[in-house]
Amino acid sequence: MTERKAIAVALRGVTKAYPGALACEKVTAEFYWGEIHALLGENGAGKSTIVKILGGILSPDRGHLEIGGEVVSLANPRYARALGIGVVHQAGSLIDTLTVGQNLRLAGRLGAATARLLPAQFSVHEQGIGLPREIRPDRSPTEVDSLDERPCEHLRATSDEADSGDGDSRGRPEFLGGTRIASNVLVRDLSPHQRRLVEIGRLLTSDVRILVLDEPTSALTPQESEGLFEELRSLANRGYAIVVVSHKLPEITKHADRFTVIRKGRVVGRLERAKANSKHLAELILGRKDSALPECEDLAQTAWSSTGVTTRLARRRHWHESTNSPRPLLRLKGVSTVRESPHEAPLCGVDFELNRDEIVGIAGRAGSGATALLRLIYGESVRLEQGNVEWVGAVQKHRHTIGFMPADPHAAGLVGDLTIAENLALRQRKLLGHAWRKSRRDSATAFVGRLIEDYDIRPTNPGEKARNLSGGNMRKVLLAREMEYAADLLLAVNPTAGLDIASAEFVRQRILQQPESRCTVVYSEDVDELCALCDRVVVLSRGRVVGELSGEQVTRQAIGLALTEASHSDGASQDGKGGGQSLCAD
Amino acid sequence: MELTGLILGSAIAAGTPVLLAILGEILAQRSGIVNLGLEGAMALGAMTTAWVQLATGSTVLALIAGSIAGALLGLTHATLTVVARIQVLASGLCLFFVGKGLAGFWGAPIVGRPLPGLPSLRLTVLNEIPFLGPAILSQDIVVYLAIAIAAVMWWVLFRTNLGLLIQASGENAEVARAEGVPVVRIRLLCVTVGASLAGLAGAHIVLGFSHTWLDGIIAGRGWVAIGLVILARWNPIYALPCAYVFGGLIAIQLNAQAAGISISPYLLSMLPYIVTIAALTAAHLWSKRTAMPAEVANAEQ
Amino acid sequence: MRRLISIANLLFALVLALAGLSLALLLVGRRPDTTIISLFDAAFGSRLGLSETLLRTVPVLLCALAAAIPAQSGQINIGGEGQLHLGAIGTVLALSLVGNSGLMVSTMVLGAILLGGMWAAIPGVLRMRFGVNEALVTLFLNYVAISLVQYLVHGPMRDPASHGWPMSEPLPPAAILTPIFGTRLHWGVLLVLVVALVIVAVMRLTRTGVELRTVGLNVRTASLVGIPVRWYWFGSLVCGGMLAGLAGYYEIAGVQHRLRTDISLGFGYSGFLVAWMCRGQFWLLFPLSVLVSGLISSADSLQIMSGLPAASADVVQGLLLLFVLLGQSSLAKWEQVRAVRQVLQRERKYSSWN
Repeated sequence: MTERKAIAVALRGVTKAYPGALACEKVTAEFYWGEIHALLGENGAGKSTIVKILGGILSPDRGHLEIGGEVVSLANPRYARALGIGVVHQAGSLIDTLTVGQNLRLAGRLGAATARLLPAQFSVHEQGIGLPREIRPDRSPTEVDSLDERPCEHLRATSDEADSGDGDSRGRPEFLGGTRIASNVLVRDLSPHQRRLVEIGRLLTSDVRILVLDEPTSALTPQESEGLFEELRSLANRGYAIVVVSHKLPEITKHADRFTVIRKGRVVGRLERAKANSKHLAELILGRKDSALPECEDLAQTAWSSTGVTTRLARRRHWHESTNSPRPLLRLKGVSTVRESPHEAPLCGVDFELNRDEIVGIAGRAGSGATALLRLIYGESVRLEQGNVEWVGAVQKHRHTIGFMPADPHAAGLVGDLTIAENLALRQRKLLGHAWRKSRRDSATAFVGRLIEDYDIRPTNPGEKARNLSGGNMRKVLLAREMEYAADLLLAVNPTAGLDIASAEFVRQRILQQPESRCTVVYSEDVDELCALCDRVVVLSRGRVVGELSGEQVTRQAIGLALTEASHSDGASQDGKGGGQSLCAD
Repeated sequence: MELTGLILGSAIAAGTPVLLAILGEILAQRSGIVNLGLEGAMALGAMTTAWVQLATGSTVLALIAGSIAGALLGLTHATLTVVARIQVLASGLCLFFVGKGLAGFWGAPIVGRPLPGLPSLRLTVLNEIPFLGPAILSQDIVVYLAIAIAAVMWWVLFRTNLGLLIQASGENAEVARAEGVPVVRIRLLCVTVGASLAGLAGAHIVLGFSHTWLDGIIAGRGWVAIGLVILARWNPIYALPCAYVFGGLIAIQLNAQAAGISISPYLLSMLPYIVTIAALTAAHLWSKRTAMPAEVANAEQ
Repeated sequence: MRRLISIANLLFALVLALAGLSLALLLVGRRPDTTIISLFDAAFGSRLGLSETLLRTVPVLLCALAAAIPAQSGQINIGGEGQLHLGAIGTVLALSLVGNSGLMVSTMVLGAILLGGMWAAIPGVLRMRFGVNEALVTLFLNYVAISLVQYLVHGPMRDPASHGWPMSEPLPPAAILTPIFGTRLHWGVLLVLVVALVIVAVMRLTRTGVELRTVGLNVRTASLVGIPVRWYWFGSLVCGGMLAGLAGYYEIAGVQHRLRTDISLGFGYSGFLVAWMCRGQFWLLFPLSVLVSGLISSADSLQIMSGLPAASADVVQGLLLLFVLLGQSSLAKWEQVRAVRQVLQRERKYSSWN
């Protein structure tokens, strides 16, 4: 590698405003060739906006971008791609309902200078993903040594050299991690790891030299994340500039060369690897010094506060004591369900128990049958092939004792156009109506007021429309309503996803402090969240229970291992049929 | 036998405007925009065609004018929806009323005036083939044009890069935009071209079928077409049987007396709509997995 | 403040719609100014005209409610026209069952409501059980209903004394609604207003109203908290159908006094447009219904007097909705731009201070 690194892309004084707030303010950052650069910050700090600006989707209100020292104005994403910037968004950069092949063709056509009406024959190469030569531009990433001070020039120059370059690399398509993916698979049938590979791989087959990845490891197991970072490292060694946005400190501190920390839209720190450690970065992200930030790896890694750690330890102790005399709530014995959709594996011989005063986690990929299990728990009617579902005690399969916190409050859970008061009262059917009776109005006001205060919901005006709330407050309204309602069982799906640290803390504390009669089930794609919250974790894969961890066994590594092993052990038959072959129902 | 041939011929002739309308709507919906103003585009197209035919005497000009009238309505819908960001369903319904209203308004002077028919394909040798000859092989040119358009549309949608861009716009516009697909332009193009097909459909109704203009002559065919798009699973090829079967229902209704069926014509005229409702229900029953473009599904929420 | 903006938007849209009409008029060689003035004059300028306008308001308002209530739960009911026709059929059917007796009026009303509701129950069931798009089904049923009326008045229900004209027997005098003020207007207009107010009260004050709104705003949340979404879809459609059926009763008992093929001047569609112009703001329904009814009745009379095509009313209504929607979306966009600009200005101020 060259000693003095050249700047690949830089942001200079970039400011972007949204209605009501500044997303980012005078952000200046420099990203170098041959490095993995981490962009850190909590949710809502402005990282996604920067990513969108880099990708050409948004343009800055003030400030500008530079590529290789030249000021550029990215009018649209296609232009950004032509200049070498490729973005993998957090929400997915692929079209789910089209096939892998179609998505790749969509990406590939940007490499060609002219749009041509070509027949869409896409072939599966022996080695994996690849575009046919006619569509794929004939270029391969070159070594860093040959990159000069003006990479833009270089990019333009290589477009002329159609036939030069290594003949070997021209014929061989790009692929990552040795995974083979057929081209006629619908994208929504892929596993998260495969999706990431396709998302990154398709960028590599065009002009892209600068990769921007927004939370690339969000749905991956720790083992898969490791693998991904290894690939990114090898790309960086070949000269690519890689920008990774992440909020997972442990893994990013291990792999990144340089760090830029964003808080509330401003750059608050720029560090190199040598000078950075987890604790220092966490302090910059949070904006405060906390002496009790944990250093250990598996315990409460994401609950970045001392009170969180203490509560967690206390809970673990308490749970050990209570396991001696469990109070069962729900028992599933040998449950197998009918396959209802091609993407979702049916449950197969599942034994599952829920006891009161427990926090149980369910770990499983999309399509692993976790959704069916959750629906069973929630009391929805699911057709059983065999086995039985038994609710113990007074709880019947009525919804009025079971609360549900879905992952995205906006989509399901809250109604944006109703007021905070109405949203809070949605479960309390009696409070909603008879608004002409003063007594009813009073009790409704008292109820709503109590919840707003108890859960620290801002703004405190109950007449405010729910859609004007911040993400964290929306989640709190949902939490308040469901916790108030759920005396017996609470289902929480991705409870802290996308929240800023303070709100995430709040939600976690409340879940941990549950009353004794309640059982909480947490389903999360974030392994760290499961570690922080759960007494016991059940791992599902392809409809079967492949692991059950309790107490001290609940660690990132253990859960990740169980998930990865399961998805590998069913053979490499990824024929795109989603859930694979189950011996049970079909 | 004679009668069956006659009905078959009528079925194809009656089904052609519906076919054109279905194709137009498939194109629009594949790019992600539902055009509920289809009936209005057909009405405008029909009225314009009748006017131009009477004014100039040139059938070709009349057909082109009808298509352009439909295209203008489609362009308006696309602009309102994509640029001005009005709700898709509301905009379409508005333009249905406006289109139908304007057609009735400007068409008032020419109501009931007789119009000449369309030139038909007469290959005398083929005409002699019993049964098939008169029914299938001597229809007017628009009939064959419609079939050709269906084939071309299928090829463009599923075999070309342009078709991929259209599908991308219709499945996930946000990601498509991030990939550099010119979603706005694609949608404008598809909706306008689609509506021009609807205008052509209206033109065929007045010139090739009823041979006159009346207010309300479209009689809900545009709405039927929107329903049949679902049955045809957004595939231009499947649109052919859907449209012709519907045409067959109309043909039965028209020729019922000759066939000796003595049901009241008013009851018979209900048949096509009832069958369409039943077909829609069946379509929902059969396919658990919908072939609806994802963006259209989002709009329906 | 919101209300003022809505009214301003409406007035502006009206001006634009009339401008559109003027353009259309010019193209056929009519003078727009005189035409528009005579439209307003015929609608509101005289006692007779005003009474005709209010007379038409009855079916238009009822059909607007018929579309507005299902719209609260997210359903598109364009079938007001057909449900009105079925209500008219139900009225006459009930009359033929009961004859000239004391129960006559109540059975007629009941018949109208039942048949109108039944007609809307068809798309309701299809939506509830199979998920079929109710907009299309209600639309198709409009055409079926019109054909049904035609069949009945040409056949089974034809008045033998009418010399072959397609119409049913005339109503017995006791069944006809008493006209007031020496015009065709009847007290139905007040009743309809009361009905509208009751519905608004139910929407805002009862649990059913809140739940109905929730279903329309966010279906997944509604089903999550245990609201029976499908039943609300079905119920709101049936309610709408019943109201439109009632409009059919009023047209028979108050205006036509018999069943004919022209029982409706497109009230179902006009009501639908009015409902969509209001977009959940129920207080606008009555004034807008009056406005649109004025348009319909004046266009109707002008057609006879000066040969103005009746379709001009359709044109104005369509354009009116269009411009209302355009105005709403422009306002929203403008608000957004203003908010962004505010944020940027604030930032500039702070940075200049540092």
